[in-house]
Amino acid sequence: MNNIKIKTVDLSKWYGKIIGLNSFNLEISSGITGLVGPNGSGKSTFFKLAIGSLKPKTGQILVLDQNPWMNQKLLSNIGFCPDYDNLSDEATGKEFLDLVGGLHGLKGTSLKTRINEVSEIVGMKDELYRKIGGYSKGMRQRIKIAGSILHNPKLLLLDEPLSGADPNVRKSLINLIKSLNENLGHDIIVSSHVLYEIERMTSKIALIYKGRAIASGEISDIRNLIDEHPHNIIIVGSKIEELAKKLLEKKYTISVGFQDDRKKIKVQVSKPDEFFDNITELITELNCEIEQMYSLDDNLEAVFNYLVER
Amino acid sequence: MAIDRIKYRSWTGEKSSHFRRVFAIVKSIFIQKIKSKGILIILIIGFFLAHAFPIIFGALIPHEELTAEMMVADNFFSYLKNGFLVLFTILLVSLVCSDLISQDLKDKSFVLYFSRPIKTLDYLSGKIGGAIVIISIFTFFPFIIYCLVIIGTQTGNDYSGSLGILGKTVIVGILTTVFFVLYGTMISSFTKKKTYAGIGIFMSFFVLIIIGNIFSTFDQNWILISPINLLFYSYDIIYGIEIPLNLNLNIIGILLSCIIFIPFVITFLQTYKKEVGR
Repeated sequence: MNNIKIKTVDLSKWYGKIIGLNSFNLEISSGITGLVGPNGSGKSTFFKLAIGSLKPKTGQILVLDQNPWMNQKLLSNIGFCPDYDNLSDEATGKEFLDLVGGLHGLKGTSLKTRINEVSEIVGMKDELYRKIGGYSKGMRQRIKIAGSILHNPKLLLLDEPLSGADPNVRKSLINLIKSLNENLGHDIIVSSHVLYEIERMTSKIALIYKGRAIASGEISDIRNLIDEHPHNIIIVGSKIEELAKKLLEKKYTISVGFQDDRKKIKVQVSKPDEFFDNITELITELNCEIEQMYSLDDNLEAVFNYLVER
Repeated sequence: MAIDRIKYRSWTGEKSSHFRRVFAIVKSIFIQKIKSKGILIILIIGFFLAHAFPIIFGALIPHEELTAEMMVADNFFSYLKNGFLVLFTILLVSLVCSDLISQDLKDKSFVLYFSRPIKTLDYLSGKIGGAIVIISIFTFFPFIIYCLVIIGTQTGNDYSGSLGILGKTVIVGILTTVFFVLYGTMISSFTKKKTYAGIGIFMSFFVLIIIGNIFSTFDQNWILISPINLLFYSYDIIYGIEIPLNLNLNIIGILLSCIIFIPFVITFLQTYKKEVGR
């Protein structure tokens, strides 16, 4: 079976003069894939194209090897959880799931059984008969996710599922999303503009910026791209001014900036290997007392910032 | 976490039942509306004023059979043209239909439907179907009850004539329900605010009556621009009662067709254009 869940080739979509996606090329395979990009980068447009709510202007998108545009049959195999809250406050969770199940042609005791299963999976079994208007943000997200997995789709698309949730809710939702893949076998594409959240869910990411897929793959693959970009290293300690002067004389140093009462410097280097080979020697030579030294490039946020040239 | 790998089993049920998918929307709309206090109040008060009294008086007043005049004559005993029936029907339609489409436009909840395997026509059929079920509680079933009560208490033996009127009343009930729901749904698709849609539905009936009356001084057919007048003359035609000679039957036919189909087409296009696919 083809492992590619979504494939786009030169996919473009624009609304008047506003570009949603621009020559977007991406292949997404099974497992959890994080779609990462700032607000307005085109993540939601990508999802809408994937479920056939939008028609591409140019290029092609294949979801589970099918063109999603006007392809209602394909939607039986996709579960979509949008980024915005479209739940009726007056309805109960049960009524919402009844409607969603009905829209997929599920009925009777089978639907009832499935609602019980799914509500248990998302931890909402005891809240099913309450009005959605009384749900917390986390509960609303959970019931939305329940609606998207009710028909047991092959592919689950979660658009900013952690948006607006507090840290505890985020943690539990992250665990839920991981479990949906690890325990229940759903292939999931989850978007976020917060990198560390995605990093906690998966090692596979696609970075999207201004409507373009700028990088994709394992985080380790992405990390290799760092070598093409300057690295930022933070050094905290005393007698740091002398060290800064010495570093500026090195060819691999691009810039040095002081932070926090001159006890911390941020060094930008073009060749991190040379920097790390030399730094111990410099510290010993200048007799600096270094409390901390760490590379910002160990954080996914830095990778993203590099790639989008922010 | 609530995940339990052992208890979970994949769903293998039917996923393609077309009718079931439309019915799910109808059921959802029905449950949502029937739980609304405002709608329940209008239904109850309206039923007493517009239906209960005519049914009781109709049964008590001696009559030989059910006649077309009892249904649509321009007098105190006319059932279908009484002011309470018109007023409460318009009120009910305003409440039921105002948020049918507008709320989805506001909440962007089209995606709730169109990320599932349904088409625009299914979505509209479900929405309109749900509203028709609710409105028919007021504009279809009471008509039938009225006819049955009158037939049940008639002193004459011409049951065939009475049953003929009952058959025509079924048509009138369907026409009335479908007309009002389609009209209300169309206005609901014009705006994201259900308040505007509700007021728009309510006021448009009266505004069109006024416009019709003003222009009818130039040509009597202008009176047909009012949906209520058009509906009343349609009743007359269905029951075989003569309409004023200066009214053009062709215009009535065309307008009636328009009233049935144009709102549906407009609603379909509005929905399709706005959210379904661009």
